[in-house]
Amino acid sequence: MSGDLNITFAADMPAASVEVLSPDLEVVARIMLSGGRSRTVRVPSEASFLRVSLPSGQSVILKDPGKLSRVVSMQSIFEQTSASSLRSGLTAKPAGLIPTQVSLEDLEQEEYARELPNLEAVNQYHLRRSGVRPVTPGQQPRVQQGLRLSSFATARIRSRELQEIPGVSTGRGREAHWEVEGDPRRPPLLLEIERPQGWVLQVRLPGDVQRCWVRADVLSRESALTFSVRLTTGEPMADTIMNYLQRGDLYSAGSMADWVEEAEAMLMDKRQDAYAAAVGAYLLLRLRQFPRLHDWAKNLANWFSFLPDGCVIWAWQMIHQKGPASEIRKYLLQAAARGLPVYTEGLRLLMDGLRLLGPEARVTYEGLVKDAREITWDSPLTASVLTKGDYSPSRESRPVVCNIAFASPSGSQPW
Amino acid sequence: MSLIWPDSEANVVTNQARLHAFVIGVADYPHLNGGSGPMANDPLGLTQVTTPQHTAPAMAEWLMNGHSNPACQLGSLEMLVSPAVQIPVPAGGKAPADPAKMAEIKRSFAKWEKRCSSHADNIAFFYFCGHGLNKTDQFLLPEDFGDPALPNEWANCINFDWMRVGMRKCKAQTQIFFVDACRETPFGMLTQVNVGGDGLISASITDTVACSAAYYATTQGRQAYGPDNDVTYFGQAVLCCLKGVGGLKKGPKWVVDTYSLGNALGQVMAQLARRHALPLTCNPDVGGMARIHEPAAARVVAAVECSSPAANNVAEIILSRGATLIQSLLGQNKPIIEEVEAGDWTIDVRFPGGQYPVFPPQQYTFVPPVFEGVPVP
Amino acid sequence: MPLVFVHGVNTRKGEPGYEAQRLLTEKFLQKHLKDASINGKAMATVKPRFPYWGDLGTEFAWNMASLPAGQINALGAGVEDDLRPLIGFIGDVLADPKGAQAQPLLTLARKSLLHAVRAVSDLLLRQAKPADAESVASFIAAAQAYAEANPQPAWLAAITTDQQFINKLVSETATASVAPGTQALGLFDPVINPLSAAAAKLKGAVTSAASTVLNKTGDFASTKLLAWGRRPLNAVLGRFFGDVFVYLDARGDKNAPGAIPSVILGEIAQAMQDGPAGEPLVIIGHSLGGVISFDLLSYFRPDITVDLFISVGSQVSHFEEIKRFKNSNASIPSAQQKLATTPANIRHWINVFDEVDIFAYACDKVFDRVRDFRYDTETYTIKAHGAYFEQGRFYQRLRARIDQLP
Repeated sequence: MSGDLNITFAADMPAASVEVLSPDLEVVARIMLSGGRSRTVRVPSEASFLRVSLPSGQSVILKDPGKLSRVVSMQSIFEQTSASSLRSGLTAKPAGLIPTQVSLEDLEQEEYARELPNLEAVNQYHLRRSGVRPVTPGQQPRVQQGLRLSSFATARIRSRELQEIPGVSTGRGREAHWEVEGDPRRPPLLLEIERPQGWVLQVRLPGDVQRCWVRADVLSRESALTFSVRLTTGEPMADTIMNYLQRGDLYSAGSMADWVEEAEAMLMDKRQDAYAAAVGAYLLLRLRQFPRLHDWAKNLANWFSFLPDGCVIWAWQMIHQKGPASEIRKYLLQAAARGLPVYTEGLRLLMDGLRLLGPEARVTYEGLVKDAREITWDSPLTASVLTKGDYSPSRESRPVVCNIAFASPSGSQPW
Repeated sequence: MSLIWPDSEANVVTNQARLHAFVIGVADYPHLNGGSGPMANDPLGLTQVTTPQHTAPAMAEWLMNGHSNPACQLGSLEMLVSPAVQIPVPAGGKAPADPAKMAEIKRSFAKWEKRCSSHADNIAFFYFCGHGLNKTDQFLLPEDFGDPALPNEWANCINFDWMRVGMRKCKAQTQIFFVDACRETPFGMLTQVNVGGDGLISASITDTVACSAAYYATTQGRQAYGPDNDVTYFGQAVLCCLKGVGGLKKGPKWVVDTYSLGNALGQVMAQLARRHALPLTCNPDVGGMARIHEPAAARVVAAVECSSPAANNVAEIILSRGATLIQSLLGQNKPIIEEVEAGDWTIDVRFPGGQYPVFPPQQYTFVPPVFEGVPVP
Repeated sequence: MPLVFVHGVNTRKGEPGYEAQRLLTEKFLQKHLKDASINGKAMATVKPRFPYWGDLGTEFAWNMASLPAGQINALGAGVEDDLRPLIGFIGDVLADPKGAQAQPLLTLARKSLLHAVRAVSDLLLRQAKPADAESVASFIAAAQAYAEANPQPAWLAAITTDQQFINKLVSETATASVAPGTQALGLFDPVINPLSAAAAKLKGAVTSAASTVLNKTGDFASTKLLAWGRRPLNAVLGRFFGDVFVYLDARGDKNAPGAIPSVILGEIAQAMQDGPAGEPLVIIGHSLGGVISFDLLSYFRPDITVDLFISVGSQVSHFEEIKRFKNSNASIPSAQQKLATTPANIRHWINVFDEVDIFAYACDKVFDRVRDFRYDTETYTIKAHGAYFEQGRFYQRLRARIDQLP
């Protein structure tokens, strides 16, 4: 029997995409909900069920046939969660959206220090790790000349003025952690991971980054040295969208398109969150929903000179909407002049745009390629490998894998 | 000959929306290690492979016999395979596929692009399987890559990134690309100053495309893999997704579109990585949504195991749906990773040794693309 | 079989090449010593232990700034110090070193494939990071065996570049790099990258040397080579003496062994415990490692019976001549006793030396019951001291000597 299905996210739920499926597996609706919010969907049957696509990449089926009012909570997700998420054995208790505060000593325990065997375990580890946050009561972390990542590398975060952000070493020296408390009005920061051989990974971080942690593991299955980076920003919605886009889950990302108008508002109000706005704009470009972009991408380009992404987005909006070629050229070249975009999406679009400009932009394109060095294309944030001396990444007989993603807010649960 | 289907250019439909495919498989590289010809000045650590000569025909077979999209049926299949092969066609008999040398690729590309441009609602479908390299741009290597007789060692090489951008010039508003190749940067590439390749087509900023989707067999800097003498793992994942694992039900129909394919491919590759204990990854880059195929039914990759390795070691897992039974008995590998029908399945987890409590069989709904379970014990 | 390998001077874990070298030695020992019989006991399992004492060795307060530099460096400023002996060696081997600039490896390989393999092996080992160690060690072992079995393969004549040589050599010796039954659409062997980098480095060094050293001196005369190679030679000498002094100063005594004896004795004890029982105990000492091992067996632990002691490129007899062992007897030689007594707990002793190796000494004129054998590393002075264990031929000859033991 058909009816109106009311779906409510409990207060402890992060924003996530929810598919409503009929008993014959038809997708009746796809919506986005966040904690405390609810939506009503017309369904063909009371046996319709939900599939929640968490930002972490896990999908959970929730069935409650006969009930047209469903409440989705972290507990209900936890009860249905698959085996893979419990493999870790971590004993942290379920918590809400706010990470559990732990002492630095807690982060020295074996579960944080042991080597992870494969990429799957790395991703699972970071889900759990998202749920804890180290505190150093009564003591500020010292500014160090880099934080150790085992014997493999040192890591540091610097501002544009080259000021190093203090952090702490955890996991018996395997991890580095920063509580940045960033500001969306601030230029991007730079995370550097430097290996003694003269290999340096540079990752652009949005200015509103709140927390960031990095660890090094030698993965036995992939026979690779892996540096995994996770971060949260001041706008969890933007982080969730980036996670969906990174995994190619455009349906889930698309369900969050309504939020983008909130992002536009964020651009206009005193928060002036250009980073969230950029993420929203990238989403709409991917979805080809150009009318929803209005012209605020132009504001993004003109108001925030520290953000090349704004110019890229505006140029591509004009390309799709057949704007004036001279303006397109101007903004593409301006983007290149501002440096590498913060988001890989922006770098990809910038390079494609310069290719389209043809021979006139050849020099600019080659300059950008030179600045970009070796790009980690599956990172959501622009990440490039630089080398010093005569070192070359291609001398490695085993890959060095950079695994970069936004932390999942649902990691507050021990997945 | 490179047009495998239909049997002549005159029979290619150009006044209606059609899917026009160009499939390239290269398993013969005479100028690389183990090749029959003069060796390239620097073979870049590349050698002969066999998987492309199985992957390309498998893709062709699906296109000709499995593809179903009433709004955009198969319009043509252009195909080049090295070494040259005979491809079975639906009408019976076989059509010869010419070798995938650079000159042939350029000719075939031009014909394919012209067909694609014949109607804005066409789908341009491109699949390359063979050696690939990456140095900022992605390069695809035809059979005669590295010919030492040429002054430019990169003359016989496709620059895929430029090609994809250039395809904006093509009138087909849906363009789908599959790059089943490695994305490594061998050391030798770094010492060469004029690494380049042919983009085959160029566009300008006034050219637009509504949907451009590229699916890469691996992430940048990594290798793509395949079993000896069989379809590559990425090829297997693509076919499995197209045949139903990438399906989404819209109304009465199951549909595989560019979004659902991108979402499914990554998850399927992750399960293949588990099954084969290989570092398999893939990388979708999708802009815009378009319907590719309507499978008759949905499929799901089910990955079923217990909640801990210790429990796996002492468990028997049985999946059942109607008369279909899949099981992993005591001592057999877990997780069970199998492609199955979508729908309701019963999973029974037993511990014959009594190490864990008894759990009654539970019903689960397998929805594409992947089901992972179960929270037992 | 309990087998303990005691390393010599200038061995530092964490430096490029340590792990690759260790793995290579392990591979060769396993391959060549398996099923050898000593004192009626068969070596069924060969699982060498490698006690590490390098972190207890010498350090230089000013990083060897005392070594003079200047005019000599101008001869080859574009060539790294530790590459110079190799470049000089290549120059000595080739009739026309200047003509080899374009493709030095291939030119060398056409003269001697084994020399070319050794040149790239040397470069690989210098740079091999721990992550590369297994693939590097496997490649070197396989490439050497291939070069010894195929000194002039037909394909050498058909190729024209160093890069082709590298690719062909790896494909001829390739071991599986992915899972069986699986192939990669990319590099067929991960060792190609570091090998290509090593070849490029060599080419750059040869080119640089050819434009400076040859122009200035006209040839690679050995005296010029020695002058040009002073810095690396001095560095090796410096570290050698440094480690000797550190050992002699801090070895302790029987009741309170110092750090270095403690580390090595601990590994010997563990090796004996692990067994398996019924297999011979073998101790191999390279360079100062041989001296230390002899000191341990003759003084610190005369109760440990060793079926076979092998000193390689070592200075055991030299230390006995200057009476630096704890149990050295100052009254020998005498009219009554011409030779020093090999300790009774050493059942058999083989001493290996290369006359080119300035750190290696013969023993049979100083000790009784020792079997000397000369081994020609066929390489240059500085390299010879470390070359023994990088050469499959060495292990073949060693096995032949072991088989001849009573």
